Amino acid sequence: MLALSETAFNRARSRQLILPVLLISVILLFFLNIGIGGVAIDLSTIVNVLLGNSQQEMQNAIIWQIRLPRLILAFVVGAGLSICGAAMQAIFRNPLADPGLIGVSSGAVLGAIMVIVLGNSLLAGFVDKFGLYALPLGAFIGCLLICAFIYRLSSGQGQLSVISLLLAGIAVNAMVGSVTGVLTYISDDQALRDMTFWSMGSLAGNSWSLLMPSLCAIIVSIVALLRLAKPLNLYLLGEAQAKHLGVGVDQLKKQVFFFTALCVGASVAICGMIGFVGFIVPHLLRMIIGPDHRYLFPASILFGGSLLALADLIARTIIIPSEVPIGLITSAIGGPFFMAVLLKSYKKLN
Amino acid sequence: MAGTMNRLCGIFSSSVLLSAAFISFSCAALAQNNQQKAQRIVVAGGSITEIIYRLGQQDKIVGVDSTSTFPAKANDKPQIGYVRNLSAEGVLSLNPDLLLAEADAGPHKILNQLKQTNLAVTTLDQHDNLAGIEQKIITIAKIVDSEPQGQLLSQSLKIDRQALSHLLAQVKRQPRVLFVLSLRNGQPLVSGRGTSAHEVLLAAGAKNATGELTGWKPLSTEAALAINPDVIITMGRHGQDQLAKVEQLPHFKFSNAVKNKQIFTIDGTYLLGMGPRSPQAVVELATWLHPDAKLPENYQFRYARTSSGG
Repeated sequence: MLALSETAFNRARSRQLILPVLLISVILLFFLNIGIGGVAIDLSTIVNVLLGNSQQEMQNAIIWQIRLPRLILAFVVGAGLSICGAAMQAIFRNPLADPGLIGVSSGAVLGAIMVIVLGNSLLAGFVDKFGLYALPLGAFIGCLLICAFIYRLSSGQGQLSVISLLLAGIAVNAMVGSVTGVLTYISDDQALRDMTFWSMGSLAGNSWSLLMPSLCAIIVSIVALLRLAKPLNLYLLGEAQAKHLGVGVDQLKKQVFFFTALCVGASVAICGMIGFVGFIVPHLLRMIIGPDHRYLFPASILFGGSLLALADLIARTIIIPSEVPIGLITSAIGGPFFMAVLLKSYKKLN
Repeated sequence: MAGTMNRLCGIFSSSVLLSAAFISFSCAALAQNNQQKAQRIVVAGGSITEIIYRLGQQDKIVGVDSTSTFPAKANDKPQIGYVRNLSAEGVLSLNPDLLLAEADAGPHKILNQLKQTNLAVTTLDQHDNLAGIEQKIITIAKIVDSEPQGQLLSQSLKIDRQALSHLLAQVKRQPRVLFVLSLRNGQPLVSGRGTSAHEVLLAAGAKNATGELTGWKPLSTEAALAINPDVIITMGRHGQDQLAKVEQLPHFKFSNAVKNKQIFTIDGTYLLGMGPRSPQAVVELATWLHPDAKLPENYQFRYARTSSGG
């Protein structure tokens, strides 16, 4: 398994180089994202605004209320999705695994579509009460409920089996998919349109107060997953071997499950479905620096964050004054890039 | 002599002073006026764009959304995207002093963000129906500072209303009309209660054949056979041949409408856009539905009739 990790890259050197390179790209992207946008703001104004010396209300508002929250959200969500992808691929010991397997995405879609379609009728009270928070909250609740359901189905006698997790995930995803289908069928044109935009993902329009809860949940999960790097390394040897080496395997699986659900749920809730990042980032990094999670996790955080920040930069500047959904950008740049790397590494292997 | 010179100079200088004061005063007044009246407007909503163009104030529009398709010239303005999916910085990049939006503009969080940057955001959510068009025109005319034209335009719609009531007074039997929005995968999407088409059909003196449904709903073959409408109205852009497609559908092949060739196509923004052309579109619709009824003799269609009858 993880056959693609056998590459011709010199791992030891890549490991030393990768973190500084990624750090530089993060810093670069920070300034690019703050500096570029529909409204032209020159560099000195930006510095003044960031230092709090600017009196220009409009520029202040654009940087502090629009660009900065968006950039931070992009970075944190990208980092969270990537590290969760890496952890999922480790738990399933399969490079094709992604958080969708444990029902995160289907649950979030169910929650979101319920709020969008039934927001005027059945769930009117909920929507009135929570206003702008209703959609993220609905998606988050849906996600947690479905994940909990899959968790119950696949854990018996205190054990969480990976195979039954996979099967329960597929079955529940299918059932949730049919409910989502029914809701789509009864929805009107407006709801359908909203749903389509939601499923393509967007980082736009979130004020600090709107994104704070999600940010906290994602950061907590990232920190928790980082601490699991060592046991996950041992887990890669096989469940039995890891047990003999003193790893609490069941505990480990449960922790990964919980924090992945929390992290991906919180990101999907705030910015809709952003595909491909969680899958491609750990994969590419594993090719370069190998499967050691002590390096893979931090690198995934930096790379995933930069990738999503870059994708968002493109999404919001490519057709000013309107905007492309970010999910389209991530797959549009991720797909071909990934394919090129794959082809290259296959050639080297032969 | 010197005295007269002095006096002349005095008069001259004081008049210069006076006129300077007057000029500066009128400038101040103008500036104050400018603060209230928007000069750079971003529009989110097709009917608003249409009305501003009719008022001749299109130079104040600096950006439009993708539903602003009429008049065709509006397509040359910078595009801010779909009305329900606006982008905050995109709107701000046009350096507007007002965002004028229809009721369905959004998402709400983007509108909130825009308000936070001190951009004036006006949402016209009151008059988004046939009866409210005049009021909408007057509101917009106030905003773009051309109230006289606004009055004229809204007055002109009264002609349509009078013509319509004149025509409907002669109607004895209301036909059962089916409104087909689109043929999605060969399945017609028809108008139920609460849709703009429902309102328009009732206004034109018809019975909505699918009035027991709510919202836009796809119609199955058998349900369509059971309904058996007298007239079918379809939406289509100019030049698209929806008529042939509708006639071929098993849903309608055996209906009275097809037998009697009572199928009509009408442009969507013309009839349902709820802009200044909509009242005329309703009159036109009514003439098809009630071919025996007469329009007032002095009535004339003022806008291009973008529709064709079967």
